[in-house]
Amino acid sequence: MKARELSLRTVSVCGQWAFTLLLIYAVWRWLLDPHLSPVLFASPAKVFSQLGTYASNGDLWAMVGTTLSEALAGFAIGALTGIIAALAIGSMRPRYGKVFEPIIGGFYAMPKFVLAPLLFLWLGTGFAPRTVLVTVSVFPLVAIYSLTGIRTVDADTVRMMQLAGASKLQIARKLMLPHTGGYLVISLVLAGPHALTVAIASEILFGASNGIGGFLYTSSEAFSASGVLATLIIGTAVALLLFGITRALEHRLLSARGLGRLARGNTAL
Amino acid sequence: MSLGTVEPATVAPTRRDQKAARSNDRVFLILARLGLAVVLVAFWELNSGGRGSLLPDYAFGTPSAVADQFVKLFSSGEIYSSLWSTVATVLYATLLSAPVGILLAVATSVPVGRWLLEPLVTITYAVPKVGLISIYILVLGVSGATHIALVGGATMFLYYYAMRQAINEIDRRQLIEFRLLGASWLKVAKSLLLRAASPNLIGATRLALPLGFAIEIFAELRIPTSSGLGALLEHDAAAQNTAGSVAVMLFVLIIGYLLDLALGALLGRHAKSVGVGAIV
Amino acid sequence: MKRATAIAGTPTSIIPKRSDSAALAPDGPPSVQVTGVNFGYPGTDVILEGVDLTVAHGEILVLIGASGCGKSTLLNLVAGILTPTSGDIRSCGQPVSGLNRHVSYMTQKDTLLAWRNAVDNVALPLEIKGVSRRERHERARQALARVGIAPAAVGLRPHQLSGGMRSRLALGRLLLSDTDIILMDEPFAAVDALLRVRLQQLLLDVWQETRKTIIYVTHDLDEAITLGHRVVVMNRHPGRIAHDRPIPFPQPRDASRFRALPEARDIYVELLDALEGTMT
Repeated sequence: MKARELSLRTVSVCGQWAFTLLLIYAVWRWLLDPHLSPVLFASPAKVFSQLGTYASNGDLWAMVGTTLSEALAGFAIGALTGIIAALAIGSMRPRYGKVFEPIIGGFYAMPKFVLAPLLFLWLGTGFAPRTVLVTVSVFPLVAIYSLTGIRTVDADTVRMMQLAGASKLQIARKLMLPHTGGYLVISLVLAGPHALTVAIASEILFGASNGIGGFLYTSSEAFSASGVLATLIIGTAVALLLFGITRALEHRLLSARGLGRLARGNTAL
Repeated sequence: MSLGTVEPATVAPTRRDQKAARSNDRVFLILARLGLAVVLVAFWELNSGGRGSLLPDYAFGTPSAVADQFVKLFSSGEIYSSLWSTVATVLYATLLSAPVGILLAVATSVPVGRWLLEPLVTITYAVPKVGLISIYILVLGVSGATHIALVGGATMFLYYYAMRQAINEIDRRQLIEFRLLGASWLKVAKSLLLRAASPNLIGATRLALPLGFAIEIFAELRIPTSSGLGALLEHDAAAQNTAGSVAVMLFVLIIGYLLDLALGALLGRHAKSVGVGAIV
Repeated sequence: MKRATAIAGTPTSIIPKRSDSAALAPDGPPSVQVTGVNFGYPGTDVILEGVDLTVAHGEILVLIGASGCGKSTLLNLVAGILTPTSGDIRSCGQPVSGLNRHVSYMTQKDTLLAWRNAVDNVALPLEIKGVSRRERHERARQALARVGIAPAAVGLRPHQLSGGMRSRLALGRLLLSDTDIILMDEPFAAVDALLRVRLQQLLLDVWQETRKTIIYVTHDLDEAITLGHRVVVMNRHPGRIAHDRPIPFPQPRDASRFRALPEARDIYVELLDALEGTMT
């Protein structure tokens, strides 16, 4: 009975997507392409051939690799520094910790791209400044969530463990860490797609020539509509893949605690 | 609570003591943060200088030069028009994109609509929207419309997801009761839906404005002949005016922070969390 | 009449038999001794004033009183979470200073770890003491069986368990922490009435096997009479002992039926009058 439901659902979902993709293709081919200037738009055929070119000459893998490595590096550094910051502030008494919180809040509220001109001055337009932008975007997310995790440890539960004779180390390992870990996972799930979008955006901003954003930039400068559209498709595919992975990860890691789906649609870039 | 220590179970102290304690804490907090800021600026000042110092002035500017530029920004009045330009664009974009997102959410909450539209929404969400900038320029030209399209494209999804969440959380029982009482779908929409959705929508706005702000800066940096704070920054950077760039940067930082603070204070009470993290 | 048949067919344990609750106490220092204790936070009204209380070994003492009378505070003092402003608290003959290791605490809010399953949660006290994995799992399973959690459920996490099962889990954990004194602050208040009675019976059965000293706080008079060897009514503003009523029926009683006995009803009315007296 459940299996039947499941397969019905699969059929429905496949049908949905097939329908949507066909619709997009139809609109593209017969509505948009004929009526819009070739500067702006390219026919599906041209775009697919461009995609083929990218795939065959290695550009596709190169651009995906560059963008993903920027996103990954920035994500890793941002997450690490975020956790450290949260631990540092969380281990102070709240009174003193609050003094430093605006630093994190500042990173959070700051429109990160504003650092771009200065980053360009310091680091150029390569891998480094883009990774820095990603780092600066990921850091406050992880820090705030982890800090919330640390701060919301239930006092009664701590007391329970203390009464049972737990040492500070035991409390940290058995209570604080797993509790905060849940929040950490949520922040990582949120930050992941975010890192990708910031990586692409910073490539565009710095006028790069590699990476997904880089190809978007160079294609648009060269007025190659097929290049722009092909790269957009690649970017969309990578994003979809990433969303799928993070959603699955989130489900697995959080359903164990009954926290369910928390990170919904929060990286609107 | 801090790691490893436990504060005792509290009993509500008298009102007067609560107030006294809170204002004491607040004073300490303000003083301590000010102290921290002073320390940081002092560190900056001491370490700036020519090449070889920790924070060379061609890269960071000196506090004095930056302060100078800051004052110039205000005295020449540039900052106000730039600020207004940026803020206005963000507001327009948010205002325009919100109804679209909301309507889309309503449309996909009906089974038919969901089947038809949901993959489309997912795809458009996944498209790297900043990448569309070149397309927008080609279609809409280098104008305010492009900026609005770019910002709106991102903020729309915040409202979409907020509305979806609100619709999902509608109390089915209340809905049934309403309908049993004879309310038309319109009435239901007005009384039940809007009321239920407003905390979510306000939460979305709380995220949307800073997000829009960030994307707008991006647009101004990227698109030539823009106006606004990002454009200001771009000009200073192009003119190799490091101190000026830093000044604008600090200003944007402050504005961003104040915006977040203000939104939190004004809307915090009414807002329902849609989740954190859309800030770029 | 229902009452008659109930009494006629009852097991011996609730046949009215006068006995002295003092017979519970063996020789040696009382389990808990509170002498002349005052407590209040600086600058606020006094919460407890001049409280004298002695709890014998293996006695179930129930504290009852209107909200704010300080019964939870008293528990916290015995647990060593709070320190009295003046007065003396001893447990098992030793003065209480800092967290009292002779004590386990169970509250209404379960302090289960959300990411652990039932076995790992219950085994926590043993884990803290460093008991080997195999042994503690073995003992945990026994404890879980003792408190009525089916073997099929032992791998489940708290969010998958009902409120009643979570209470049983907490009780099982208490069993394994094996302290002389158990403090319980309205542990079953969040559970429905029928289930509550079953949990009370479980508590009494467990008490019979282990003969722990239990200090139990509740709002429920029926529960107080059912569970307590002694019921202490507390006054409030400031908190002090208003009434101390031994209940001269041996434990374990029939948790669901004891309260129907005429003697129990008389005690009920007496305590009710005392309670209402404190609330003027």
